[in-house]
Amino acid sequence: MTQMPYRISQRLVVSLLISIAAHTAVAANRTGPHASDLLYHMAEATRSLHYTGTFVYQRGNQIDSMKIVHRGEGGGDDSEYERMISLSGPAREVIRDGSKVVCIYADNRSVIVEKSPSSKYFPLALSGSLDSINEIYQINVEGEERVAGRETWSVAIRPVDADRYGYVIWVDRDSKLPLKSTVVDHHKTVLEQVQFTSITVLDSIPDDWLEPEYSSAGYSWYANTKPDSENDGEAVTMARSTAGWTIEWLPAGFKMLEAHEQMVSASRVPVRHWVYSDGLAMVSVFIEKLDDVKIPLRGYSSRGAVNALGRVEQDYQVTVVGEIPLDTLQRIAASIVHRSNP
Amino acid sequence: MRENLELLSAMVDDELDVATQQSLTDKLLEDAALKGAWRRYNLIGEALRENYARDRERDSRNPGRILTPEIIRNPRATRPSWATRFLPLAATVVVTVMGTIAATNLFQSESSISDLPALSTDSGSPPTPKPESTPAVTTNNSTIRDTARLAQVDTPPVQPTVEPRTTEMRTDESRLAAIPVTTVRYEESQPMQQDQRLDSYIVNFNEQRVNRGVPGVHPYVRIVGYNTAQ
Repeated sequence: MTQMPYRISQRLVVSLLISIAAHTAVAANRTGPHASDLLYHMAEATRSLHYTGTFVYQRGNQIDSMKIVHRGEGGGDDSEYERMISLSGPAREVIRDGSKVVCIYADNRSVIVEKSPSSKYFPLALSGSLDSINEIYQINVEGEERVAGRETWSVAIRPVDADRYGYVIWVDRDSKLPLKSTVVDHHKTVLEQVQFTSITVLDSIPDDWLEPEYSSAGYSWYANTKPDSENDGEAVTMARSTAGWTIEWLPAGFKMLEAHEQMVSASRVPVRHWVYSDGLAMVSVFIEKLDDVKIPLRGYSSRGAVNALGRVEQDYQVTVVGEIPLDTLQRIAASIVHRSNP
Repeated sequence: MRENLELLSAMVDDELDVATQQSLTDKLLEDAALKGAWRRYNLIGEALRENYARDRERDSRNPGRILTPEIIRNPRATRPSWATRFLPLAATVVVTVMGTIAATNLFQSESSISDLPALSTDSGSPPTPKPESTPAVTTNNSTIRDTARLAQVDTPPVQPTVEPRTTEMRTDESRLAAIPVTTVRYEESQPMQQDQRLDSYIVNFNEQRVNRGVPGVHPYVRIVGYNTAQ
């Protein structure tokens, strides 16, 4: 009689331990890898893998389908090649070859050619910067879901303030490619979403898969292949690029990554280009001298989660582009001041 | 007589002024030889015109054919009329005028965009000396915010006074150069549309973002997926 409670309690303890161990294993399986590790592998896969697929791009009630062909680094040479083409909506195509970007607008028969940055950057997600942004974003693996017939982990990147957007990314458990991505505002409203409907990872990408679909013969071309350093025969330093200019306000955590002068197809004069980031969100500031021909851009435009704002500061065109809320972009743009006598 | 025959030939070709035609017609009524010549010239003219019409029809069916000897022997028959010769020029003029009108209307319509509350409507030609407050922005509660509101609100572009700048695409550096346009033209008379001008900045922003491996939505969907008419 006296041993019965002992046996019951013993069995109870063993059952509890087994149950706890099982729940822990399930929880660990659900939680999956560490979020930072997952983003690390995702960034690596995005750059290095060869793949092709179709996806839908949704913003609000508008949905377009597109196709992408990606040849990763090391696929023939060290350059990353990519071709994205619209399957619905306006006939458009973007081709990147590591040295330049060609945007073909078959719908209005024009082409824009921009140069890619000559220097390759260490990816933010690989540079350890994710560890430094924990005060600005909360990054967690939230669960798992099937996307395009494949198992994924979902990673949520949520900002702690309203000065930047958040992201939810569904990462393929096998290839580590992002199969679904959303941009959300501070109220968790989805601003835009990209989701693959099919994707195939390949051993190689044939050259002809990267050829443009549209001939572009007879189109209007806007390009400038003039080397940026030809402006005055020397590379423009960060200090010189920013001389005379001040940004008096930036959101918490934003730092300047780069400042230089470059040529862009939209301008005939060298453009100062400053790049700021908090480790995830990024903002570009373009400043150029206005001439008699150029019409100043004033006001703002939104392309999904990317906002752009133009204003005139003295006799300079200031254009700020960023994947941040418009209110934040507006504050940044308003704080850019030119001092005539630095 | 020889002079009259030359005048008669010119009249068949409708190359005489009214007074000379009247004088020649008077002579034609009185001179039987001249009347016979007039009949022959007209027959020859009709024959040439019929041949020419047949050749034109055959040309239209087979545009790549080689010129036939009879046409070469009768260059006058192949000479197009003034209207035909100047048709391409006239078409070019019409297209240019229509283009100018369209461009003017475009800038007028863009100017009307400046009435939107989101825009800065200051159109003063000299830029403001002090950092202007940025345009008042109305927060849009909708989840979709893709309306292009960046406006060019100043005066239309001045006609070019400098030589158009031409930059050459390097044709040997990659497969992209295989695009069958070897010369890139950037002319003052054809300024970039504001959306494409904006795209130029967005592409440069995208390149910084892509090259740094920032996670999120692929940035080029905003170039491929957005219609300039939006």
